[in-house]
Amino acid sequence: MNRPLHVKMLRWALSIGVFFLLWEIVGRSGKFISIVPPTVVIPELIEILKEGDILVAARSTLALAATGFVIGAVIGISTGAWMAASPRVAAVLDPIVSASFSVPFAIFIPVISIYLGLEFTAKVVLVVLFNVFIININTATGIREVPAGPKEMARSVETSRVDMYRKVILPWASPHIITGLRLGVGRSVQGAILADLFLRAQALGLFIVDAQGRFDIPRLLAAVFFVTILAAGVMGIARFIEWKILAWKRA
Amino acid sequence: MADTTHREGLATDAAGAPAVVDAAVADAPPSAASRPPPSRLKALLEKKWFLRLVVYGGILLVFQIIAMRQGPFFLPTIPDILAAIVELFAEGYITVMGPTLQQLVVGFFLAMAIAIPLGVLMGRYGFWEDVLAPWVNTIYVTSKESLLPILILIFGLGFGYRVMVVVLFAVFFPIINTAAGIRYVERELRETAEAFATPPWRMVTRVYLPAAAPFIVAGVRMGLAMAIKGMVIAEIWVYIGTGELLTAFTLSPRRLDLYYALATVIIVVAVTANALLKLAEQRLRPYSKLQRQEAV
Repeated sequence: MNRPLHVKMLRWALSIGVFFLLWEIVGRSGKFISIVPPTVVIPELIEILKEGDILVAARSTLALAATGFVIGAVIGISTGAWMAASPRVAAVLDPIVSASFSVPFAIFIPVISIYLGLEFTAKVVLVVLFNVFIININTATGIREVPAGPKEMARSVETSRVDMYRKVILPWASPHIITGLRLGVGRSVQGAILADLFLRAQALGLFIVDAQGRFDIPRLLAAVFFVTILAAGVMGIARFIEWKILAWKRA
Repeated sequence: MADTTHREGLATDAAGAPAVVDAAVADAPPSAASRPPPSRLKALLEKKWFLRLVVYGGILLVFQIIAMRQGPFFLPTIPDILAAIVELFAEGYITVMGPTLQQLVVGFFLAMAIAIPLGVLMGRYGFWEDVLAPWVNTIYVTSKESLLPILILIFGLGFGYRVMVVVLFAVFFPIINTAAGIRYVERELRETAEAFATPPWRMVTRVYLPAAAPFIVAGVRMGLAMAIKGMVIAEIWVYIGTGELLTAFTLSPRRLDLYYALATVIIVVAVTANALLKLAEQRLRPYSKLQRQEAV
């Protein structure tokens, strides 16, 4: 916590260095045919980036994630707000929300294709299933934690219901909601990659499946490496945006 | 037939409701007419179980009606699903879950054996925190599904692969939570123990772990949920075990009743396991408010 940044960065660099070194040693030892050393994978990664197919694929998978994210955010925030406003709605929806954290939604993959096909609609539904609950629960928690003081003050000047939400409740609850949205971004990307792998293989999913099918191990490892960095990058951006938006809170 | 009684039961609920209101209004003494006493319906609407009964009953009713209209090829009826649960056990389909659960348990315990020591290390020592946290935070948020093909290449399609997928899914929550729990152990507690020259190992077993126990158990609970998710994904991906069965029931010959029955069993197992660990968590939780906030 209180360690200077350069010490942290140095240790992190050391950690990455050790990781690549171990990977290289294991890869060269030839004990595992499937582990190709980074000196082969990194040039392959540069190669596929130059080809450009993987970037098109990434854009398509991210578009799916974004669509699912917007829908999930709208549903998550509105149901979360509704649950916070009405104890009855909360009573009804609570069991579903709390069960959602332990239910493996992947069991619905085989049946989703029966009702919704293997294309975009089915994939968006899967993404929404992945992100909606975390957004919902953060919104509900945030609104429930708005203290009574400001609400009573607003009521004393006869604030309308709309203004109450627009000017008091939502701003007050926004840190929670934004954190929920940030977590939702991660879930959306995860869900989109899962959908592109498990429903009809498309975009990044197809890229990986294709490399696996051709047994092109360097290409497969490079693709997985790319997907991991892409997802981490998107999460990093989301985290940064959250940090920027919530700057007022730290001041 | 079970489905018709079910429907009738709900129909009476809906039809009976206005009658209850009328009776309550009629019973009210005239003096209180300006402000009628809360009716029995209103009292019922305050009850959680009643609200849930109405809404979930309604959903099941709609499910049943759609199932009856569209036929079993599209959606099985609720009695069919209940019968299929019996069939799952009677026909021995359920034995498929044996190896699945076995790999789940092995993977889960392996994950905990890795996660808790790592979490202690990260919570206790800044060096390990700096070295490991970026990995943990990165892999934890990225798509673990995309790592499946690599795990298959390394471990094949057998026991090792499924165990490793479970480990990969389950390991991160307990690491993060254990580290957070250890970090938040109160300073007074730590300093008191250190004043008695408590050796490092005893510090961990007698001070840190007990003090962080609620956090750790919360992490373990989330790890178990993730383990189950990982198991399902691993099996659906390569068509083995329970995952194969789930998929097979939706292909030809399509047996959606058996699919829904198996899905129900899996959900019940997952939710029950989670509930049991939640109970353990609440028991371990001390009354301090700081620790009641879950670390995520």
